[in-house]
Amino acid sequence: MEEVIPFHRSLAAQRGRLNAKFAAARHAHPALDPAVVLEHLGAVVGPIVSAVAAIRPAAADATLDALFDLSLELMGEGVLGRPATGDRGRCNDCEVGLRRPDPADEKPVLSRAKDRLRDGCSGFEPPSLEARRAAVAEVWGTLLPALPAHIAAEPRRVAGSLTNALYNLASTPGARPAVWLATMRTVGPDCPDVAALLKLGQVAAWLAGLAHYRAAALALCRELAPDLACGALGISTDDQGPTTDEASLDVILDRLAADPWLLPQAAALARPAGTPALKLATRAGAFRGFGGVFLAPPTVTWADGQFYVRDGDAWWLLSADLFGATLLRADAPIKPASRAPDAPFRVSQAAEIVCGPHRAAFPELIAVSSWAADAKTLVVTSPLSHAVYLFAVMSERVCCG
Amino acid sequence: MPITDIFRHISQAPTNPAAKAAPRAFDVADLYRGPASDLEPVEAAAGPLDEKLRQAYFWIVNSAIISPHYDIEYNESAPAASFTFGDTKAKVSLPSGQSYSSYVLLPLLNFALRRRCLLVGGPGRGKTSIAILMGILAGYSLREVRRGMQHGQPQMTVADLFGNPLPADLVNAQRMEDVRVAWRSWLAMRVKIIDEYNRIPTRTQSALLTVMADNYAEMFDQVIELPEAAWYLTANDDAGGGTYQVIEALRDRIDVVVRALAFNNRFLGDLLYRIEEGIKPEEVVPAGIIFTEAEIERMHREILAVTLAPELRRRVEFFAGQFEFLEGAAEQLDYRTKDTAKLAGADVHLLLAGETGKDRLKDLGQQTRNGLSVRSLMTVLLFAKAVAYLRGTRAVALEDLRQIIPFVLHDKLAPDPDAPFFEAPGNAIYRVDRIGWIRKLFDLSCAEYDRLNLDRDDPVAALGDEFARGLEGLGEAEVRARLVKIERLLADWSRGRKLYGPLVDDILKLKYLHQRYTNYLRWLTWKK
Repeated sequence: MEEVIPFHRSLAAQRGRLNAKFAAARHAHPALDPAVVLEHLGAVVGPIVSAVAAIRPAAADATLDALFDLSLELMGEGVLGRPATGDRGRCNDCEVGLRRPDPADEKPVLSRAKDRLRDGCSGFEPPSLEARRAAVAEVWGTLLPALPAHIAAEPRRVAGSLTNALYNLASTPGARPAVWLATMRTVGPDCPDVAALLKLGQVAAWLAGLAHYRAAALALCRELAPDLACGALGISTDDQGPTTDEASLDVILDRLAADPWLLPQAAALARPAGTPALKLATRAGAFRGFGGVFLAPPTVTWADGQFYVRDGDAWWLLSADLFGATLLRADAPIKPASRAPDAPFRVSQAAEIVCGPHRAAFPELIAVSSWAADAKTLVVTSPLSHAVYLFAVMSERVCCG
Repeated sequence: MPITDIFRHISQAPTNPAAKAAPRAFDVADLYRGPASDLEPVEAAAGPLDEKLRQAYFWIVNSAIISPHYDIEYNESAPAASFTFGDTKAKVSLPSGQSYSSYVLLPLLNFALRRRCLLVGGPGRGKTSIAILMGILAGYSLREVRRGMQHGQPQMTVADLFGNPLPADLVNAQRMEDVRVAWRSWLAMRVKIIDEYNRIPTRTQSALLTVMADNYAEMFDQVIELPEAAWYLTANDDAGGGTYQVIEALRDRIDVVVRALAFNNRFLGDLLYRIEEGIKPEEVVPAGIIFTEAEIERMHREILAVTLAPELRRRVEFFAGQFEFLEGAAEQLDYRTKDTAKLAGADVHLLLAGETGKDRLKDLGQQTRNGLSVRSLMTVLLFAKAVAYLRGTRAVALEDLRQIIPFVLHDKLAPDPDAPFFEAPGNAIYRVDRIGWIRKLFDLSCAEYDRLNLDRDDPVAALGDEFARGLEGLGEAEVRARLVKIERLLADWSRGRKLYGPLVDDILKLKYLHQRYTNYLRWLTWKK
């Protein structure tokens, strides 16, 4: 005989209401399969409710109620629950699926960034619905049970926000949902409250490739407790140099704000490690037919401290740093310029990039249609490519495949 | 979104979309926006609440109250198409703008404005259901709303309504103020529901009036101050079919009257589904459309901030000015009102019929037995702002006024069924159709306003604006010139013009301006 656990008691207590809610949801979404919902309840919601009941029994009923509503909503939208086909999907970075997390995902951020650099991943494959569904399942299956205190405090807000976050990451070409998930699993439980957890999620999203969150995420790091911020950034407390005291964290964040191509751990060191060299940092964008955003080879310009890319009439805002590059649709810039006044980069007649004492030639520069630069980044486009190429002076070896 | 959810789903924002440029800025909070909705704690929502109000509206019409009517019609330009049916030429227009069901819209606006709404209609039409939903929107549980609902019945006493003195105090108290009262909990609620209010005895109605009008209750010298609340009263038959006649003052406190619309039998399948599945919409109201006290307060402030252009205000003035004037009621123009006749016990219809020289069909004042009170005019302005707010605009449009006026004036304007207007071909229907009649009145008033070209040529408005700029530093010569201007205008009008209500308002306004300038001139002369 199956043991009666708090989840079962909550189910029994709210049976009538939950049944009515399911009937109402099924009226709107006839495809909702009772068997799938029951399976989801038992296999996914049950463990979360039990985890909550273990630390705060009084919150079990409210948690079940909120997660049940959210489950029906997400299943109705087709982003949660057993997929229609046997294919479990593959995320754009092959990192999130209905598989157990790879131990590599638990690596500190420095290692992950190095891996990324070493692997030379461009990451602009199109995200699929299955990948998003798999990402959402991963949140419910592995992340939510690890955060019972936060779920107990605000079940709908926490579960819904984390679901949306991973869904958005899985929808963004080039982003790495597994990195975000790993950070949240390792650092999330240490957050003292829901507000801190959600701030951590925003910082982690930047580190997982949503480069347009960079400025806001760095500001949020200053609002988080130093150990949480260092945990998110992958700066361990026993590293050499400044670590977790608040003043040191401020210095690290200042350095990171000044250089988008600086690793957090390198920023924590008193002296820069390695020899700086001019590198192809990353590339962004692809032909729309292959899941990218551009219909034609783009051109780039600089305005208001940001890079803008256009293909014909459409404009995109390009945000890029060591952790990723994103393209967001934007209005046309008002005063476009070729480069920022303090940009040290030049593209010479001999197809060479010159940046102060650094000088290098790259195969991507054989044909240049446009280029723009700010103090730290040079963006180059080619009439032969639907991608934009980003060059920077970096300390680490960069290989962009 | 794959399918429109019927019961749990809130319509996705924006519910009244308008063309917008692609935004350049992005927000890190976007990370948490996605397929899962309604995640932010309600306290954190800082934007305008009109979107939430619209979501509540659409949830109610789509999921809770089966009211597939769009009787409050809005058109972006011309209606998409119009058709007429039958020998009576029943006209059906397909609106090109977002249109609404009055049966849901008006209770919701009443909720946002915290006013007093009367729901009338036959039994089983959903009057109580919509009132209960409003209680749940205010954050109360279904049990609290049901317990707080007062059911009118012929034996209802003041104590039933307000509470009872504590028995121990009744025995031991030496003075009246020592008797403590156990107030009924419904009094403190922000949504108050009185079911079948016309079955309440007259004395208890008077006690109810103090609560509705002044937001306090009194028993045994004990007074309890009550919060601002949205009131919902229901009546099966408001035309005298209740057990007791509703006292005039209580009726006058009702701001808006909503009539339950007939059930469309094509939607019987929806009812069947609810029966079979045991679904009660009031039990599954989405959390995302529930308003906190602070939100209701903020929404009220936002509604008050909706603007009403002077041009539209003038049209309301012109419309309202049609009704109070009664030429045969007194000698002095100021007293020539229907109120004068009513206070004297005279028959307004007879006095109206006795007038001569005016076109009795054209004179809109001939159609009513009374004029408009200040309270009803304030309610018109408030509800017009509220409907504009719900539609997502921040300025009242003429159509907002046109749509809202019939519901606010439903019980305020008493028609004179023997007026010539109702005898005219095709107008007999307006004796029964109060909403259609009042809307027709407004349309006729606007047509007359346009005919008189008052948008462009309104000398009284010009003189009023001139006066509104102030008297500070105004010289004697200028004052005399303005006085002459006023006198010339009055002299001009006195030559052969028939006296209609709006003209009387204009004449009295000119008299007011003349008196203010005269007093100022006297002061100037004295100062010299």
